[in-house]
Amino acid sequence: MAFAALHDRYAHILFGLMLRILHSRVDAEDVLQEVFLQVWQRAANFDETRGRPFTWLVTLARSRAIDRLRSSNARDRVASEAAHDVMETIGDAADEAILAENREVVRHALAAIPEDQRRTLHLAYFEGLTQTEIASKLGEPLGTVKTRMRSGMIKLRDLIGNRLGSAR
Amino acid sequence: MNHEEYKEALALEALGALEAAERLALEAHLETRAECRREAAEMRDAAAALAYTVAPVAVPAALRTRILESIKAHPRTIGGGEGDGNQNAGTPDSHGAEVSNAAGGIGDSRDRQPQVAASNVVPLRPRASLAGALQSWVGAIAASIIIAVLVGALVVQWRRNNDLRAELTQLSGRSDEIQQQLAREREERELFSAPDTRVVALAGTKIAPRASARLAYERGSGRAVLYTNNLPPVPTGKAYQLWFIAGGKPLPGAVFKPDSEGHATLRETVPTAGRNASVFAVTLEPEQGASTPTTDAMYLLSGAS
Repeated sequence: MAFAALHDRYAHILFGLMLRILHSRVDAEDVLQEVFLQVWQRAANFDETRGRPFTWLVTLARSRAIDRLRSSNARDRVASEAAHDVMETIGDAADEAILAENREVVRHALAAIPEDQRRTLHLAYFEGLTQTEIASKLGEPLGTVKTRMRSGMIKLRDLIGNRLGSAR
Repeated sequence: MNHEEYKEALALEALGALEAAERLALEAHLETRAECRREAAEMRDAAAALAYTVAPVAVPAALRTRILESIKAHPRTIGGGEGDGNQNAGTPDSHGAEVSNAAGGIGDSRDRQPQVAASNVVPLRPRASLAGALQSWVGAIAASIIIAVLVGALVVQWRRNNDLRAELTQLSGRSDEIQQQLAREREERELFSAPDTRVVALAGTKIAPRASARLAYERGSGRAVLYTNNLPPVPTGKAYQLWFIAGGKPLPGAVFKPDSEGHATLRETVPTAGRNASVFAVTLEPEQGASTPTTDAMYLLSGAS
């Protein structure tokens, strides 16, 4: 069954992302299941002229994870085991090689971005903070934060360019 | 937001860092601007690439099974069943067969751009994403409800504030009035108790037999007050005028209009030449007053002292 192939190609990437964002295996498993169900139900809405499949999947997964993060933060969540340092190689070897290459490309790009800009990207993307929350967390004016995020994103985009292989 | 601000917002949107209201505004803007849409896609690609920096983690076999089971239990329908865990009561034939069909494209195309959901049942590229549109509508409606509530609260607050301010203005106006009245009464008391104050009684003449008045004035300063009773109402364009008659020559005083009962209180400063007047009179004159009486008809007259 080929939905399984889709699952097997992306699930470990998305699961890693879930764990990175949620720091909770239980929540990560829950949200991953939710995400695949949505992917299944919304596949008809996917419009490849409007974006790449990888972007679509990751964006959906990240936003569900942030939703969960926000609602569980509100519940005074207990710190759970962080499992994001576990690195396992599974699946198709060629895909895994591309994945590893892409990781290097993005890490290189991030390393070339000034620390203060990189920090805002991380706070937004992985911690799910909004621009105003970031500004108040950093104690910086909102305008400064916006500029940093925009500059950082433009650099990231330009540095990555077309260098990503397509396990997309 | 103007066009430049929208462009700026694209990076933040890709990072999920916009506040809800800005995100809705940006989404509406993207509907109309192909150029911005292209840049939005680039920014989203760049943001999604951040996911590559996270180490992949193998999905436990039990979870994989659970996921694959759950999609079997949720057959999708054309147009995309929207919503989390939304159980579409699928028709019997939209089941397992569709699952394998739908994903067939993925299994077959091990190319570098796997199609996420190629399907010969569900169109891969619907003309308009109805469910997506619905979702953003629901978002937009929720946002407009929130905005409406906030605006409503603001208006209520603003009105209350205005009411209070009006009330305050009214009260302080009232307080000023009372202050003035007190000042006038104090002045009158002083006037009546001053040693050189003269009080003159004026009587109604034949044309106003019930009328009467008292005039009090301080000889030194000329400060004076005239109280009248039962003066007939004045016709439009007319007013009563006080005269000081000294040496047979009338000096004009102030004009005044009594209330509906003929009462009036007139504050006046008697001109120096009028302070030794022997006679005080009141006539009906044009309301702007006259320098010499325009009529012989007197309404009030003091007895010669």
